[in-house]
Amino acid sequence: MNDDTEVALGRERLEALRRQIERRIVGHRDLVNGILACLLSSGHVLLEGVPGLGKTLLVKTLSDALHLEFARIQFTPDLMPADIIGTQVVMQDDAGRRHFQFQQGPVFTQLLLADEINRATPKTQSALLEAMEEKHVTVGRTAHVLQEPFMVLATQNPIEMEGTYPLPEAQLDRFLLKLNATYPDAGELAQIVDRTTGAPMPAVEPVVSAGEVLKLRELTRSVAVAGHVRDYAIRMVLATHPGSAEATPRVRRYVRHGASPRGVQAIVLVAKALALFAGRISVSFDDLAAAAPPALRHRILLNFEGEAEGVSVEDLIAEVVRETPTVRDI
Amino acid sequence: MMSPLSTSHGFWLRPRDPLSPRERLRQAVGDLTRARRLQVLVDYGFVGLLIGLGIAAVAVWVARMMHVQPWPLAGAVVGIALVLALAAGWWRRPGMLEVAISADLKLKLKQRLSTAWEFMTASGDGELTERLAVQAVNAGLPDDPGAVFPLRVNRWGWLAPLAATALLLASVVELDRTSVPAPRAPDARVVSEGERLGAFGRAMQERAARERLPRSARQGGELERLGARMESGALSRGQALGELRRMEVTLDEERRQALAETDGAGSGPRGAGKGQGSPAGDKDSPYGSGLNPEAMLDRMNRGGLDSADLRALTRYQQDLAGSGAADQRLEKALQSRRAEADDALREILQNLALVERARKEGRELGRAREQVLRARENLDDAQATARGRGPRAEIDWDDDERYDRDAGDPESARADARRGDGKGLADPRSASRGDGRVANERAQSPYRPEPGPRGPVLQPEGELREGESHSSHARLPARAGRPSVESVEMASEFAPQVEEVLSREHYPAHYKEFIRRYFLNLSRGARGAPGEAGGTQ
Repeated sequence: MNDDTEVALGRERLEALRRQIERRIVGHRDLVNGILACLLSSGHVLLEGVPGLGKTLLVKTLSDALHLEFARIQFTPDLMPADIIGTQVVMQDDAGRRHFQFQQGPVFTQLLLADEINRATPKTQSALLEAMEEKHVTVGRTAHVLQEPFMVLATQNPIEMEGTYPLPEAQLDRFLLKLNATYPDAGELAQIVDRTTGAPMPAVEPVVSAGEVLKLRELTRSVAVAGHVRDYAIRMVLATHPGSAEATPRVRRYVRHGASPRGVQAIVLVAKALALFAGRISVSFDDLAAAAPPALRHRILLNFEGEAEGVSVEDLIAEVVRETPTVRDI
Repeated sequence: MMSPLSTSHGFWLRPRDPLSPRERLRQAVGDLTRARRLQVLVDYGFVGLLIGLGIAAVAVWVARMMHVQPWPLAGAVVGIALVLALAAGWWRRPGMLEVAISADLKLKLKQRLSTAWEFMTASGDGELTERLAVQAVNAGLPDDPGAVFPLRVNRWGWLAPLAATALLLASVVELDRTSVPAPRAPDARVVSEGERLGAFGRAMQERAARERLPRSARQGGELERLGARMESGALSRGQALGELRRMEVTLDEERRQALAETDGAGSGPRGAGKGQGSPAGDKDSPYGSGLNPEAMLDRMNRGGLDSADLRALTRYQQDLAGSGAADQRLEKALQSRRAEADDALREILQNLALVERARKEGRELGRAREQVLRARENLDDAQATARGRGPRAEIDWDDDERYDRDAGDPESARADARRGDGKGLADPRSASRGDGRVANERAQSPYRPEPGPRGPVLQPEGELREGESHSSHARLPARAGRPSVESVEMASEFAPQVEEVLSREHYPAHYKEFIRRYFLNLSRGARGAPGEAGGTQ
């Protein structure tokens, strides 16, 4: 099997996965693409959208289509870190001796749905930090390694902010992408009605195993990025920094902090996944431009003036993508 | 098993093509690079052409104004600009990776070509490089690299015809007519002078036709045309002065050439060969009363000279002998004539007729020049005014005018001839009888001579600067019944300074007039304060 065939097989697996998801999910093609890109890029996704758009259903469907362990945590204000990562409990053996034993929390899974993550306290939210970044959990003096692949899909509601705890920047930065769930159009609504008010929802078959996910991840990382293509991603990220020479006038005026180095990593990784979706083994400028908005939108912090004037981060990113030259000095 | 390359349609990708994907990629990028570099050179060439044509248009314009041959200059400018532009194009030629990136963008190859090329040139051999090369080749490159980077006329090239048109216009447009004259009221003085010059030109042509003087006829026509232009109001005062200056130079040159034609003509009164003539064939003839070479020659050709002609020639020969300028050839010819051998006499008469014609031309042209100078003075030309009052105004027609003046007084003429100088008049121009108005104007001059023991004496005075005064004396010849002309040495002395000051600095027109009046007042002051005369400072 040569490499091109490997890419073709990878695409085929991904298409099969996509087809399974589409059996339940109507529309949300960008959302599905983003989640799959994140899966192949070994990242975590933050899904944002008003209630009822199918975020949770999408994640559950993905877990059904993958041969992966799935867990769901409904974040509430009284949720404690131990409720996520687990705790030491006193156990008594057959000889009557008692000892502490670590009882794993729901984080010990492969696909974790952190529903309404902004409803938990920062203390609880930060319990996920180590798991997301290091892929292991430390309890006491013992580090417990999580299974691979491990992926967190968190959702949050942009409205009903009362009683919520917005995610701190440090935690936001851990999410590879932030995807926005949008309202379906009329045709999609009709399909939704038809599917959910008639016969039972179609079953979703698991089509991709954990091993295949890891292979796809390896294949994704092997996608080539030329120097001049990579430089475009770097210029885009630099353009989000208000003190940079590449920054646009609006970025200089309204942005307090631009994207971190994780931003350019996210762009390139997701662009690689998008290239793989297209059957290419090299990243293009278009892949980078497509990856930039979900990779940067949660990494740009507006200043007071920007907040006061209601400046949209989405608009700023679109401006950055539009005005950053793909090629220089040619 | 079918190779992946077999599905491609590019000429690099033919199934039987023995080249490997890397070699195909190398060849493709090489071909594209050549096409792109050629395109860049052409683009720069158009830039150079446009710049060269633009500069050449300006250069041609300047060269024509400086009376330099424009076309070699234009060719050199365009050539240099082209060479420099091509050199710049070669200097900034794109690299192969840049060409691959450009081709990617043009062909929408999603950076397959440039990525493969970059990996191939950077990492050389490798599995990924091979895969990238195959991917790039499979992307379907065009058969013709020239289609990707075609030779085209860029925006600079489209502008080049405009620059060429500008160059053409710069080389054919008459510079004198480039400035559209602003509507203006005709200058009354220009019109008046034009009317006067036109009338003089017509009269001059009539005289020239009568006397068969081709140069005078031609210049009379020119003068009439200039007068007509001035009279029509087409010329501003400045333009009229420029035309008059050119006319004056032309008349000088024509007169010089006419008189130069008399060189080598042997017989004649002293100085005749230098063009210092006077009206001939009439009572004013310098050869004496009744000596008319042309009429004599005519009579000789018709049959022979009569006794009156011989007497006139004899008297003329005696006059020459008496003035110390005896003409041996004439004497021998007269003796031979008595022996009925008149060939030598015929030759002498022909020479005399030639000299006479030249003198007539010189006289007519001198009159015309006087009129032109007069017109310039009337139009407030500082140079003409200063020169007209300075010593240079005499130029070289003093002898001519002396002949005119002495025509009615042969004794005086002979006396002058004996003295061998031409200083009988301090300002011979004033003795010109070509234009009665000139004489009248001079008669009204404030510099009137005071009677002196040895004739009238002019004592002009002036103030050089505050606290300094100047006066000088000029003795005028007193001749009864003749116009007495003042010598204005005072003004003559200042004339070069006035001219220099007015030409060196730019003054408004009314200041020029003021300056001229200042020096004029210097002389008037001298006349109004005779008590201070008699010395300098």
